[in-house]
Amino acid sequence: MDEQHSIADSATKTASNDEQGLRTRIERALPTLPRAGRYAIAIALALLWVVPLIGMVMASVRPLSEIIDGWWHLRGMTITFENYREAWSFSSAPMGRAMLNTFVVTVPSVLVVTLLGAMAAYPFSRFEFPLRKTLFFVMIMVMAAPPELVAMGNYNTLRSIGLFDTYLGLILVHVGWGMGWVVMFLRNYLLGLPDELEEAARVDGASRYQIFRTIVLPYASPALVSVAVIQFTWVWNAFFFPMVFMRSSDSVLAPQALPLLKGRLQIDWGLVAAGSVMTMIVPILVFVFLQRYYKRGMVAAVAD
Amino acid sequence: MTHISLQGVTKYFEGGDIVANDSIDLEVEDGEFLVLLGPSGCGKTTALRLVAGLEHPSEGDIHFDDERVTDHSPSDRNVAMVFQNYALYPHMTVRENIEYPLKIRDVPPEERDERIEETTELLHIEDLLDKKPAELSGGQRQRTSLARAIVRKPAVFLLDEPLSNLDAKLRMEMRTELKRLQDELDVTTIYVTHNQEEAMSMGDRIAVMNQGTVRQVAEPEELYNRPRTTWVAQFIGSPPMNLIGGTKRNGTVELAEGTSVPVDASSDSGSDTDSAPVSLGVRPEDFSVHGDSTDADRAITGTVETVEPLGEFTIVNVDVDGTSVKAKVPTTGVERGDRVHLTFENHDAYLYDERGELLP
Amino acid sequence: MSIQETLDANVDADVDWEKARAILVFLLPGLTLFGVFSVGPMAYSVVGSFFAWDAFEMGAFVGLQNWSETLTDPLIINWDNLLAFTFPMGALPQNLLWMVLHVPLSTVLGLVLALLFADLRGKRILRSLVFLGFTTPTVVIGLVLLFVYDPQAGVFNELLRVVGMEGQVRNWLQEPQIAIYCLVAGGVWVQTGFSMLLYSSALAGIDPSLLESARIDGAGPFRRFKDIIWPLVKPVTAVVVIMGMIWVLRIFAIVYAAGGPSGGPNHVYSVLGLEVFRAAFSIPVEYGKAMVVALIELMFALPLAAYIARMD
Ligand SMILES: Nc1ncnc2c1ncn2[C@@H]1O[C@H](COP(=O)(O)OP(=O)(O)OP(=O)(O)O)[C@@H](O)[C@H]1O
Ligand SMILES: [Mg+2]
Repeated sequence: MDEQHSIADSATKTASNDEQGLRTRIERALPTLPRAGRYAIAIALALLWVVPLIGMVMASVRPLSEIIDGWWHLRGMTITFENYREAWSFSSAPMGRAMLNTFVVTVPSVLVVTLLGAMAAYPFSRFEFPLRKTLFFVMIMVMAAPPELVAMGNYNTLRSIGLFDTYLGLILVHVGWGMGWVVMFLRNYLLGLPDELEEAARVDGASRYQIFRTIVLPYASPALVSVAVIQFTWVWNAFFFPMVFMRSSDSVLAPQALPLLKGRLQIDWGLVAAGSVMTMIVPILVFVFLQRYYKRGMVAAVAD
Repeated sequence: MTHISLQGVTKYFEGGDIVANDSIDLEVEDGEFLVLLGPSGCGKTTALRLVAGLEHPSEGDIHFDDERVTDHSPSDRNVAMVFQNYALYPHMTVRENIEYPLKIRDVPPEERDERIEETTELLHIEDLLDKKPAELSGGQRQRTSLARAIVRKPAVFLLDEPLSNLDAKLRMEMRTELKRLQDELDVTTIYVTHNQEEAMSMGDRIAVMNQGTVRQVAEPEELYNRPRTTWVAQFIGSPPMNLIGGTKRNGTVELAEGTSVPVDASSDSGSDTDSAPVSLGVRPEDFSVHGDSTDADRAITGTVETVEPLGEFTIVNVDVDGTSVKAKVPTTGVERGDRVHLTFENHDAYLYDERGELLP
Repeated sequence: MSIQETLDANVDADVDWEKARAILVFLLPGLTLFGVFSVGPMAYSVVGSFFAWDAFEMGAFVGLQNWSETLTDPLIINWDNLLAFTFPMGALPQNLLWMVLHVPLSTVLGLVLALLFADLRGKRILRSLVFLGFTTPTVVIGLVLLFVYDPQAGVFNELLRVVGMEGQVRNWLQEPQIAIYCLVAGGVWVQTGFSMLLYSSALAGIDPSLLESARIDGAGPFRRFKDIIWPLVKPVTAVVVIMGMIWVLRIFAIVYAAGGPSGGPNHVYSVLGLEVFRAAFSIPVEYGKAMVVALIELMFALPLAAYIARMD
């Protein structure tokens, strides 16, 4: 957006001087040597960046023998979805089941942390209350702390309340862990909510809870979408927490299942690649569908 | 419908460091249009928010009719407020904005529609119902915000500088319209502004505030004609009233330079021989400027410093023995450096004592 | 007067009750979960690091014993190898080495790519391509690296063959003295996308007329960068660096996927997170050690947290 503006701006500026404008336009249309060079370098680098991922996608649709010969050899290429089918129902770690598990864990984790986070962020952005500063710092600390730090305590907690190796247990851990950054993020957003809106609603007769539901939540909806998307990606991709809290083969999550697809002796690259593509495609789809909001969220996160 | 009464209302902020309102006593009559007028930071908004219930007084009490509402929350007071920047809910359409207070109060949908229709017709915004606030002009937002206040049929209207964000032309229009609405609806209204023209033209009465206190409450005429203190005298009117220091003795006021001006002896209650320092106040528009000597009783002599022709009238700045005195006259033939005489009528002169109080 | 004031204060407190209750209702559910599953376990680790552990059961107070044992554990710090700079040096030095290499490289590369793409047409596609790696689950990154460095099927070795370095072909992740650098390269590959994105949005915020006027004033590209672009993107650098450091501190899945729970042959690229996992959840269970290692990680994270808190 911004860049388009700038291009439009400079275009109008040069247009004021006709002769120069024409020259610039020609220059733009026919890239000069340094410019062409830059394009070449840029494209080459960008492609280099995706080579590993391209390799993975290629491997996922080719038989193992062709992969071992090198996925970059395109001659005599056989395209097959056998890897996907096999990974989906792989005996020791069926991706189908794992994807389902991941879904069952991710969706509630995201929804709950977004709602409860928004509720907690509201007083943080608006009111004074005891321990506010302390809580604030604790949340930032949790944002920076490594997840390993809470593994031992949560392991014992979940064991003692009987939620170890259950969806609910992992969901609770994810919600508790995500709460810190979600509250910080939404609080920053809610600081922009004008006081008068709330006061107007109060004079209009709304209770605090009605204000939250009818004014605060709708106002924050772009930020809520960003939070949901980021949290979705994080929970979906999470590896450490499932490794610690999900043990039985029925409850394994997708990222956890991937290393299991390697097999014993010769790594079956096709299976690993197919499983990886399946796993990573989901957050990318979420990204693409909600890109508009996600971008805004990224900007807000940076503005922090 | 509602009589508002503030008794000794004081509001501190920051643990008493800031006194925004200092023991305010104020009565607003049923159906009255009362204007709170005062310079920026004098505590007008705070007073309004106290009446709305958005703030609670540190001391004193607020009554609506006979009910003590000091501790009531805004939703229990049945007041409607129009904010300076309108405070429209950005995610709702105009209709939803207007509907909001009704919805919150569980007014049944059919009645809501009826009242929305009524209100929007009154304010001529029927065509805007499906727009979002961001798509409206300043005037349209203003009307929407008014509609949201009116639709509830509140007992009290509170308006905080509702016209200050509008351009001059629209402001004049809305001034008339607001006044008409208030007459029609007959709702007790408190209107905050720092624009005295607005205050004079709209208010049934005006409460002039300064530094957290109410200095004078009066009808516009009276406020102009009998400002009770030098501060009010200088605040009302443009340019402000001239104040010339002098000494009152024997029914005359002796100004510096040996000029003395007779003042109404009948009001002189003190003994004739007493002398007291006073300020003589004369509004610029009550002066006449004479180039040649005059035989008028009341004349002040000085030298013209500048002449500012402003079209409708001209401001003549006259140096009277070191004090700059302004005269506002329709036309004038004088020029810079001329010796002139400023004359005025007895009933246009005000005398204030040392403390700035109007002498009777 | 003072009695009146206290009375008023009480009235005020009464009035605020409704508000206080509302605040509590809003805060309580979220903060409860936050407390039980984040703050509580952290405190538990802090306290537990001073106690003896029988598997998952807390035993007697042992003071600094866990700490001293952990800090002399060659898996955490292997002093001899560290002084000789041969791997394995222990998870702590390896983790720090990773950070020292990873953060500057990914930051600078991100800035370079952001500048390179800034005024090209199709920059959005170019950026997406570079950013794609960052959205990939870290465990997939680890597996992809395993694939890339594979002696037969790996594209990296093919590249060596193409440029005629046939003799260098090998399984890079099994080379004790080199493997960690290969993984660091993979981490940089991923993180560059992130820093490029942040720098890009900072660059987009620069008023183009600033650059034009500098150009008119005769400033060359280097001067333009130094005088105009750099001061404006400098704040983003703080964010990029901090995020990069946190990313490296938390690194786990990449290493696990590429080298298993041991962190490569003979732990040559093990990191702190991996040591916590192994100490706590593999036999023999050493909860005390796991807590100490996790707290070491926290100590590196705390200054970052303090910095973030100050930025606010
Ligand atoms: N919430 C608050 N906290 C601290 N001080 C405040 C608060 N609200 C108002 N004040 C102070 O109280 C005084 C009166 O403020 P108020 O807003 O009532 O003035 P005002 O007459 O409405 O001014 P204006 O015409 O500029 O709107 C000011 O000095 C202001 O700084
Ligand atoms: Mg105000």
